[in-house]
Amino acid sequence: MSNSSPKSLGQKIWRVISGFEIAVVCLGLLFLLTFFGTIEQKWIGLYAVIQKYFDIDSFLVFPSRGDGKFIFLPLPGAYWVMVVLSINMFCGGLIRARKGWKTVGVLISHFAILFMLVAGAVSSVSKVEGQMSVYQGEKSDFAQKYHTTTIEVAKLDEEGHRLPPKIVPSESLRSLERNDVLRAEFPDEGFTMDITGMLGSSNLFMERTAERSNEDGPVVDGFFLREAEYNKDNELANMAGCYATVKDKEGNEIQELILWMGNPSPVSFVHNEQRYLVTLTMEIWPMPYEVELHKSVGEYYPGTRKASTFESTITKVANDQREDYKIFMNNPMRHGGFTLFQANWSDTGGKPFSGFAIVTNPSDKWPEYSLYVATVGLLIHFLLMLFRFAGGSSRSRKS
Amino acid sequence: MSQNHLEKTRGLRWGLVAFLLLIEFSLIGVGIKGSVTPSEVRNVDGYNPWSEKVIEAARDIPVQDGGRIKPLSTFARFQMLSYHGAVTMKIKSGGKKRKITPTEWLLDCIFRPELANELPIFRIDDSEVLHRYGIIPKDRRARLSFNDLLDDYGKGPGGKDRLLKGGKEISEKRSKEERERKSMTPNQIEAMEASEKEEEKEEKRKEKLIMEFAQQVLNYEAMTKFLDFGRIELDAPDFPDELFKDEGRDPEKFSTWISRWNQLRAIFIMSSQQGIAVPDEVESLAREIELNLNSSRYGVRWYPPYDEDENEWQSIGDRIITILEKQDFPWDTIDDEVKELEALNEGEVPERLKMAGFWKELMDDMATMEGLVEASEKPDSPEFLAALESWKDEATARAKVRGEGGEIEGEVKYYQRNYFMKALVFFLIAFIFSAIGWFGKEGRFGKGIQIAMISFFVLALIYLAWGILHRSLLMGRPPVGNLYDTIPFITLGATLVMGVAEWMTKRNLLVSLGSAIGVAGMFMAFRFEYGDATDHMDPLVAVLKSNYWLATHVVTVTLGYSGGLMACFLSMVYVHLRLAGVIEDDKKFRRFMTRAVFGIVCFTLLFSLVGTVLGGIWANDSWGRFWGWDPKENGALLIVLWSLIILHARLAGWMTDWGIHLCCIFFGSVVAFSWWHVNMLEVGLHSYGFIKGGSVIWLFYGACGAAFVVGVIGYLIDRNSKKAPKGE
Repeated sequence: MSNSSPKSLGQKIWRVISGFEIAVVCLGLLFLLTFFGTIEQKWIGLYAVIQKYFDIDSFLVFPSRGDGKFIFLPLPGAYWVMVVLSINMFCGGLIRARKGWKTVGVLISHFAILFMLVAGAVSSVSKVEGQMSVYQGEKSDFAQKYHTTTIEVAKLDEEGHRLPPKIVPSESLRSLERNDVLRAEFPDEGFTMDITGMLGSSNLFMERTAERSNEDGPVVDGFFLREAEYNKDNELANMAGCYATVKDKEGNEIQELILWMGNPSPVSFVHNEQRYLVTLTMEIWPMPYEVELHKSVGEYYPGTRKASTFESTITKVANDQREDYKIFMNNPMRHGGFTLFQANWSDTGGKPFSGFAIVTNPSDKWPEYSLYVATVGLLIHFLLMLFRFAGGSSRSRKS
Repeated sequence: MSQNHLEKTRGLRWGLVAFLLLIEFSLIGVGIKGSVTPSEVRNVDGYNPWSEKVIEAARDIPVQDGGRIKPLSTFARFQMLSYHGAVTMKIKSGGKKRKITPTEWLLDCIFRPELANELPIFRIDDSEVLHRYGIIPKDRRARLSFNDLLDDYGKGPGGKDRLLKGGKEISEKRSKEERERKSMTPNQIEAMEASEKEEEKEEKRKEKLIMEFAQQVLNYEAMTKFLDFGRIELDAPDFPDELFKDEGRDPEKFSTWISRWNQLRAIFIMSSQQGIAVPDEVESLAREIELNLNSSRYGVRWYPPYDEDENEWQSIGDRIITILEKQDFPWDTIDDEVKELEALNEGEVPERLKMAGFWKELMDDMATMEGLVEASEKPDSPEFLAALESWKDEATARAKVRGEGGEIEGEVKYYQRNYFMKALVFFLIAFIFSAIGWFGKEGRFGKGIQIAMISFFVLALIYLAWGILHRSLLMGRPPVGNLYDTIPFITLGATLVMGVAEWMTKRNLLVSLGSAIGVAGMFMAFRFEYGDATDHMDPLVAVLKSNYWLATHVVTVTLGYSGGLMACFLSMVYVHLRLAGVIEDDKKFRRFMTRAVFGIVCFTLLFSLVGTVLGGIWANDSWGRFWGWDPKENGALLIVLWSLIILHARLAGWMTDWGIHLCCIFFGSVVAFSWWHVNMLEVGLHSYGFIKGGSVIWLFYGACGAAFVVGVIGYLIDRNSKKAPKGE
């Protein structure tokens, strides 16, 4: 970078924006955020930490201790620190930096790291993740999105078939807390639904067999919801639950429902002689192709419960085109912007089953490309430094 | 200070540097010493060591453990480590001190259980937890024998039984608490945890120790009893001849009654159907057979499975049960039927004939084991040696047919060569020579010392590299796949770089530091292996089974760790040398040190960054996300960030020599956190790397902190001396 003294205000601002000082401060802040964001996972789990420290919506972070008390060290959200760092890197590491053969490596590596940060930003905004579960011999054309809770209300036709459901979207339910009330309108159907008592992790109890306390939710059809300890080690095991009161246009109660994510079958109500099915579920994510699972194999090392291999033989069916794939650990199937990974396997119940993690991410391969470029840049720069160092050492020994 | 004065006090100043470094690192030594069990040498009367030939015959018997086929000696090593916390046991017998190796101890367990029960095999770190069961050892950290649990400390035969009952009760209580917790609300859990007193927490810790210890005792018992069927003499009643065919078999032998098990069972079924009581002596015989059959299901798994499609090796009990499950088989007339079937099915092997073959093999194996146990009554006899060798040959041949056990010989050699212990010794000798060299580099003496130092350093490097290579070949994968593997690899990386830097600079200092790192690394490898008591050559979990990623991501990121640690140690040396004033007159050297550290930070950045991003790409291929803010990933990122902070702060002009070195001392703690501490958090997707405990890491942080303080003092003195008027 040029060290000449700035003259105008604009130059001064430019110098600050592109200066090493901002880079060091941003890196220092990222260091602290990463450190606290690692430690705190022990107490609140990975997903909660990501939301607290690294999410785009996180502007100010108060790191806290295991007992939940804050450490008085407010820090800016990591996402926004990275935005500032990227701007600084662009201005200082690319535009303002000296251009010459001595700095070519630095320029290349700055460019590559910037590209990697952009990949991260794109990923955090547009990446979608979910899971598809298929039993051997069966097929599926949908997945369920992780960390999304939706309410599906489906009408049954005259023959009792489920029609495409109306959805209460996860965006509305995400910020809902236990004492909040959300009114979902279904004008075409002529009813509303008041959603209350939302719990991120809950258990469903039968009144007859469990003692109900003041903290528990109301009893509906002999059942009630009780808040459960949040499982931070296996976040997908947390079962959300809530109550829904269905009312007609005049505000008269039609039925009260208890919705629990772990419930294998939907609950139902009747309005105007029409039956509706209601489920609290992870958001359904239709796939552009169907997956037929022919063989699902899980093996453990002999005499242990240590997984040796999980493997699935599938056929992808899209527009009458059939393609066979073998998916196993470290060997996903990439097609049409979707990637399918072998995430888990089970044969409990006698029928083998494969759980596929599904991801769509426009910047899927960008970090890989930027790594190659960054490595070349850093190698050029550090090798030049090493030659200079070795030359210096040898000259100083001679002298 | 005058040049003359500096020269005169140079030795003293080097001594001061060594003293300060020793004080700081003795912190770690003190911590380690606190965790060492006093090595009381127990007197075991009548202990006769196994002959070398017997040990040789036993050690490469193939067994299955941890998901792979390994030599019996390796199995014994990790069994002994899990009970004893060491790979040798010191005892006194006949007035002589003896060291018992793992293979010898396992031979005792299998063939001389009465003697094995006298050996102080169980290490317990807090023996006070046993007091409640009437077992009162002398020391808090103690080594107990199985018999100590029975009578000596137990003041009666019930100590062990009380302990096992106690362990079971605690386990049931824990399960109940866990179930209750699942039905509680977070508020109730919080209230319960808040009301938990310190004594209750302490009690929980003790209960955990009791459960673990009780489990160890159970496992040990299984190991000493699995061949009991070969020792017992059954008291069989006289059955009518028409009930059991007299094949000239010994009615006192277990195998005889296993061959007659279905007929014996038929007696019980018929008695039950007809409402007639089974005679007491028949019932007692059946009970004894069942008891021994159960014992024989545990212990060493050294029988390959019958079916070539199966991959799980078995115990004799499992083999018996597998076959007896086919209850419709007329086992007493099997030989006749086999002949008939063979005649009928030329070339074809029907299922029935296959089972008959397995049955015959089982009968032969049981006879072999009974013969082996009988011969072991005279452990020095040629009969026992012959029987043991015969079983080894048989097991090896069967493994070979299955394409297994090909690495047995190589693995035995790997442990016999003890590469890492040799490397430790040579690094230590190199360090001692280098320390002598600090006090005088000139003349023939100095030259001699230097040659000796370099020779031992190179020898240590060869052994270290050879050991890593040998392990890698045995495992059939790149050298780093688990936390243990990283220790020798990081040590090799650091010492190799120090060696190359020494060769380039000829300053004598870097080889001293490299030797010290070598000693520390090898020591740490042993400590970790002994503490963890896990065979780290066992196969890796499915997600790690990728030689490409192990060879790229893991190796690169590990080299990054090694760079960060090197920078830390070099800076530690630098600040001590500066504080002691040893290099105040040598500006070139000071500059060299700073440039070397700076170069190593660049090296660390390159490898950490590439390694971390490669890890992200691997995660993207395995789990579908490049970056997940998981502790292991974050740890690697912290190293990258700290390297970048050092490099950019220097460019910003915020750091001089002292600043760089102080930051690099802190770098050591960052690397320790990333390499080690994140695994202790036990959270995240890298669950295969989780470890327990690790108080030593806090001592390492303490040593870094102490060196940092030394650096700050050195910096303040240096700053004040520069401010002072000239001539003062």
